[in-house]
Amino acid sequence: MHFDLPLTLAALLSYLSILVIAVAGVSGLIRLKQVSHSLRVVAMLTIFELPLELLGEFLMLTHRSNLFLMPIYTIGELGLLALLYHRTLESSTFTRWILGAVGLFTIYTIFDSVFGPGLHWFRPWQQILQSLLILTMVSLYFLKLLNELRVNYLTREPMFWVSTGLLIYFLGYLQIALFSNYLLQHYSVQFNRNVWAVHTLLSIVLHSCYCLALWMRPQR
Amino acid sequence: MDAPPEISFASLLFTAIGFMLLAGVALVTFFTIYQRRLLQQQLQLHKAEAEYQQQLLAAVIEAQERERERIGRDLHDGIGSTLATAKLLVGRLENTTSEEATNLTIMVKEILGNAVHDVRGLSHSLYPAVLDRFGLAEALQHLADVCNETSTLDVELSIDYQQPLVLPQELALYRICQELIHNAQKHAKGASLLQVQLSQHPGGVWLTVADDGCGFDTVALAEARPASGGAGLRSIEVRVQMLRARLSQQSAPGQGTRTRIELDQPSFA
Repeated sequence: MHFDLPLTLAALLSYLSILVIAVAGVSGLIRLKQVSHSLRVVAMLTIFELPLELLGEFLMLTHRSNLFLMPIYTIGELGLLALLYHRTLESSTFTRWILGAVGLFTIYTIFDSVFGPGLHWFRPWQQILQSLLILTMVSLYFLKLLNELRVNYLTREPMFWVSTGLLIYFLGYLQIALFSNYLLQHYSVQFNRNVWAVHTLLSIVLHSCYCLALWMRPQR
Repeated sequence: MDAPPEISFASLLFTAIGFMLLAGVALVTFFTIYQRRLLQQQLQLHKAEAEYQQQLLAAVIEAQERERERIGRDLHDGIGSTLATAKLLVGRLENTTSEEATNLTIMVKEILGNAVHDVRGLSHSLYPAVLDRFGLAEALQHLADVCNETSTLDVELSIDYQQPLVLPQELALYRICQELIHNAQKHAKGASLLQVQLSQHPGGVWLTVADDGCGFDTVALAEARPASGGAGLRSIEVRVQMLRARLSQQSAPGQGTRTRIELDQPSFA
């Protein structure tokens, strides 16, 4: 087995990202039964992501494509986040709408993965659709916060941190996803690594927010 | 089409990502500040509402106490002393001749008649039986008659009221009118005429009380009201709230005062 990743900034970020994801996954395991009904889904999400991230990293280090994991990751992440916002927003209209959206997205993703380009290519539209759906859910959560004004201190609200992490991550990731195949086709490996280093940084921010939310004491 | 050079594309892509991230951070910051401001506004509103409710409660209690004091005074000074005099005269009957007894009996009858009149007056002020029996129009007419008899301020009544309201609404309107007349008698210095108008429209019922007295500065009164009490006006506000009606008051120094209660959702009997 041969690992080849020089100790560049991108590599350092990659190792840090794995560490943060591992901490988030372990936090999820520890806090799964202690956190609230809604946050339990965040714990489940971190647990779900950990083996996929580890496997993906391992495949990347051994110079094998890990892109076949993306549809599984995308469907699982969107499904769990939909469940999280279903429990948080407590709106029957949203539940009906998101059930339909996740159902259609799953069908599209399976269809696109099976009949689309080979498993060595990115599938930007899956990522873009997923990002837009998640950004919509985050926006609905922020609107609910403004409409109901129930939360006295936003910085002490776990769901606020989860939503902030998701907003920052998916706002940045949208463009990376959009150009992922284009970058792969036309530009150097180094440039691709630099772009994905930005993604790694965003992932660190997101998983740090998950950790913060999981270890935060709920407001009284 | 050829792809743009790597450096220019890199700067474009990283600028776009950076811009989106900055926009995200700015959005969250703005949202946090805006939410805190909204929350503070809501807290201030709740505080003001609670203060207002407390003032209304205080006004109701004060009005109750004032009414009890008045009843106590009426009973003690009026009916109490009348009956005491009657008792004294009856006591003198035992040791008098028949001629004196006849005179005393006449006096006692007169005194007891006054006591009965006082009791009726007191009873009417506590609960207007006319309202219960004959409705709001008759009760207001009776109120105007009493005021014309007892006060120098002439009350002119104008009634256009065909479909009677349910008793609680009629009673509330009656009490509001009673309080407004009382206010005019007390505060409208130099007033010679008080116009009371009860009118029914397709949209509801209006009660208007207007005097031609000294009037007042509404802005100055609104600013001074929290500290200055104004129990009478607050008790009117309580009844207006209870009726889910609207209260409007127009006044200016030297131009009299006009108060209108607009009941948009009347419940008919």
